[in-house]
Amino acid sequence: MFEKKLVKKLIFDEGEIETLIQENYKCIYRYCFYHVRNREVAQDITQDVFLKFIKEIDRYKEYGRLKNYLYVIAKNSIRDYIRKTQNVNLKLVEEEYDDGGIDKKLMQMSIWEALDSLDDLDKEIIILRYYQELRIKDISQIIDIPASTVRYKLKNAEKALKNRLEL
Amino acid sequence: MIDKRLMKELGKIEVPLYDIRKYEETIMKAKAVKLHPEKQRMCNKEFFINQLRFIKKKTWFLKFIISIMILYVISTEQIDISGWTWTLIAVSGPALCLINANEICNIFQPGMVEIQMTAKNSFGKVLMVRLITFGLFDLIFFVCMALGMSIFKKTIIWQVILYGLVPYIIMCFGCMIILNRCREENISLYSLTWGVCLNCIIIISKISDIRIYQASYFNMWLGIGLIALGGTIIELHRLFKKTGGNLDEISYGTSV
Repeated sequence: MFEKKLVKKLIFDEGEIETLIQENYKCIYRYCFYHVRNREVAQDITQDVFLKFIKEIDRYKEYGRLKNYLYVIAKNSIRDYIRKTQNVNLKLVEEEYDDGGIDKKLMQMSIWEALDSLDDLDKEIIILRYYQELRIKDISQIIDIPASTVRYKLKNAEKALKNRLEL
Repeated sequence: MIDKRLMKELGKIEVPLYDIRKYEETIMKAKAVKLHPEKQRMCNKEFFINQLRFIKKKTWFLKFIISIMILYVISTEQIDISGWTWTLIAVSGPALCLINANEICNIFQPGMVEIQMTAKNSFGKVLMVRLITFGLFDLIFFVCMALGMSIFKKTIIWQVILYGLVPYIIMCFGCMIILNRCREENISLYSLTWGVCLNCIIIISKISDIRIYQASYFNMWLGIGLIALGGTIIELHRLFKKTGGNLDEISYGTSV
C-alpha cells in the first residue's frame, strides 16, 4: 500500500529518483554480477533496470516491497541477456579479478562451479537468500512461488552446496 | 535460518566495485526520462478523500453543532410520551438531512454538464461520495443517540432508532423526488421547504396531543419507514442513472 505512494512520489519529484537509485544501485548491481560475472555487463544491466522501472512506472505491480519489483526487472533483464549471449563466460572472471593468488582464484572458481551445479531456480534462491540477504517472503514474491516451496528448495540447495564445497 | 558456515564460504566470492561514472550516468539518464505527472490519475480512494475537501467547513460545523445540541437537549429531557423527547428525536433526522441537501443540491447547478463531459469522474461519483460521507456521519449520530438513550435513560433502542430514522428516511425520499423532478436553480430552496413542512407536521402532531409515540403505533411507523425506504432507493437509482450524462441535458441547461 505504501509502496504505491512511494512510486507516485517518484513521478512528481526528481529528487526521489536519485534517492531510489542511491539506495538500490549497489544491491541490484551485485545481484546482476552474481548472475553474469562480468562487471561491465552487470553495470549495463543495472542501468537498464532503473531506466526500465522509470520509463514503465505506470505498469508498476506490487511485489511486496519496491525493491522486490526491481529484483523482478533485474531477473528478467538478466534472462534476456543470457538468452542473447547463450553462455556465461567464466574466463572473463579470471581476467577481471587479478587481485590475488592462485589459491584465491581456485577457491572462487570452485564456488562458482558449485553454484553452477544447481538448477536455475535453486541458484536463484541461493543468490537472493545468501548474497542479497532477502527474507523467504520476499524471495517467494520475486520468484512467484509459494514460501513453503522456497524453504524446501533452499534446504535442498544448501545441502547440495555443502556437499559440493565439502562443508 | 541462514547457514553461517555456508554464508562464510559463499562470501569468499569478491564482487568488484562498480564504476562511479556509470552510477552517475544512470542517475542522469533516469532524470532525463519524461514522466508526465499530469497524466497520472487518481484512484477511487484518493478521489473520495479529495472530494471531502469540497464539502464546506460551514456544513460540517452546522452538523456538529446541531448534533451536539440535539444530543444535549435529549439527554436533559425527561423521557415520557407526554414530553418533547420523542418529538426532538423525530425532528433531528430531517434537520440533519436538510444540511446535507444543501451540499448535494450544489452538484446539480446549471451549466455543470459541460464540465462533466471533460472530467474523468462523473457527477454520479461525486454524488455518491457526498451521500456516503453524510450517510456515515448521520448513522454515527443515530447510533450514539440510541446507545446514549438506552444506557443513560433506560429507553428501548428500537424506539429511538424508529422515531429518529423514519422521519430521516421520509426527508431523504422527499429530497430525492425534488432532485429528480425539478430542473431549476432553486432545488435547495424546495428541499428546505420540504424539510420545514415535515418538521412542522411532527411538531404540530405533538402540540395537538396526537400520541404517535405510543407502542401501539409501532406498525404504522415501521410501515411508513419501509415505504419511504423503498421510495428512496427507487428515486436514488433513477437519480444515478440521470447523472451519468445525456445529450438532452444540454438543451435543458442543467445537469439532470
